[in-house]
Amino acid sequence: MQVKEKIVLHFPASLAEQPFIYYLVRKYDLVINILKADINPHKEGRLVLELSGEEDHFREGIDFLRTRGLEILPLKQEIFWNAERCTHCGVCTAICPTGALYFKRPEMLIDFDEDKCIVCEHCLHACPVKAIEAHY
Amino acid sequence: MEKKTISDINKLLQQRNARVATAKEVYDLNKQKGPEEVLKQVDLVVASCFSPVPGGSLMFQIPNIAPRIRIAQGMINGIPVTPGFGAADFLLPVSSLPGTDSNNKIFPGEFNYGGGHVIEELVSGKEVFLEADGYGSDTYPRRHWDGQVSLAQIPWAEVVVPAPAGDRPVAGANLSSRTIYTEMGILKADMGNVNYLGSGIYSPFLRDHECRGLIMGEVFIAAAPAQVWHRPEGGYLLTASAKEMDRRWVRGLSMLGFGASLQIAVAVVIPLLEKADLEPLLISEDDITVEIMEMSEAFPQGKEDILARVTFQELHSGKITLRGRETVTAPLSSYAGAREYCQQIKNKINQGELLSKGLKGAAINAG
Repeated sequence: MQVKEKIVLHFPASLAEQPFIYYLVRKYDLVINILKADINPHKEGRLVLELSGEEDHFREGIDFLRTRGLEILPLKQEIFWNAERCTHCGVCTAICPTGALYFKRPEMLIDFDEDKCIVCEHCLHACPVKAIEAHY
Repeated sequence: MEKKTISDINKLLQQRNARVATAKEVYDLNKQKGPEEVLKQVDLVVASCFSPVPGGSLMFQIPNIAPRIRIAQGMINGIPVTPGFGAADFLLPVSSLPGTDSNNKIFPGEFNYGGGHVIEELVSGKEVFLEADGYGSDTYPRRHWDGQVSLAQIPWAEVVVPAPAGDRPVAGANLSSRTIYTEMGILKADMGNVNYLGSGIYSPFLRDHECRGLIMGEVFIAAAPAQVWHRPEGGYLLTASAKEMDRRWVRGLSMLGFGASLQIAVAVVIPLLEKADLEPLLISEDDITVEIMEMSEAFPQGKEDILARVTFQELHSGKITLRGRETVTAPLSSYAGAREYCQQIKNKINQGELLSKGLKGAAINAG
């Protein structure tokens, strides 16, 4: 069965220069789509990937990454929209590149579609009341 | 039908029989039944906005201190403040920043904490750390005072905002090739987005015929009754006690790359005395013209460059065509917030929590 999932990989500094993506493609026959890649001054890396392929290969590929010391998180846990803090002003809707933050019309209430979020984090800075948080 | 008077409405309020409607309800009722019916069925209209204010301040008096201090300068949670009107008063603008803020030197600045945030914290019951310094004199010998203070411990605290409290219908776009950070939010390059202010059908200052609501009606800032001060050169200043405010409607803002501010809800209760009062309430969002200003070059240089004039309805749809290209729009004023706040004020009037004794303006003009 084919699966397609977005994951976030955290690389410790010791592993940041290793070509893991190559192995995911070559050894596990997975199609990769890099949504975001970051490396901080401490050489710690973060990669947001969309992986698709056969379910078995997907599981094996994830296990491979884990055994090598990478931390893997499903994408959903990364960006959290706090409905309690939100004032429904709408500034985020122009910033979100995928429409994950959008207005329900005609009520003009903000909602967050986790499936569309690519963790670009533009919303974190754009929200004037800091109603959007990144959880790591 | 004959004109109603303020006295008439006050009697109804005292008997809890005044009919209150939100600006949208009046608009819809007119569409269904016509203006005569609206005047018969509605006495008071609530119109409101929940927008970021362009400026404003909190003025408050610190608790009685003995021996006396005459404040020359001070700090609230690390934000410098200046003296207010009295010896023990502080004046805190919503945009003031702590000394530790990078002041946009690390661009774009985040402005995570400022005057607006202090106001939000005070209204929500949190304590703030105050420091006051004076140079000392015979009658005000004390040179320093500090302490944790909450709003409940403060004798009085007034929030001052100029009308229209950020709700003037205006829009901005960016013609340049780099993202700019403005009071209207982040404007992407090449007209990537058009951001706008204004609450459309709920807009209090558009809907108030000859400022009748401001002069003879009532204004509520975050559910606190407000005083209206008329400036001779035009415009109004609104003040209300922070101690009576509802925390839901007082939010500190961090505008990326621009500064700190405050989003605060303002409602105007407009008495419907005669047909002329109804006219501004019947303007549809399709008839509200909004100018899209160029914000990357013209505005900073003090010039005016209007890219287009569109209707509020078009902006509100989420997409418009600007210079032949489709682009997204985003509001800054909370439309859902304006709607909810209108409803809340209407409910409070109906339940006798507000205006149970009548309109304040009655003292000036009884009809």
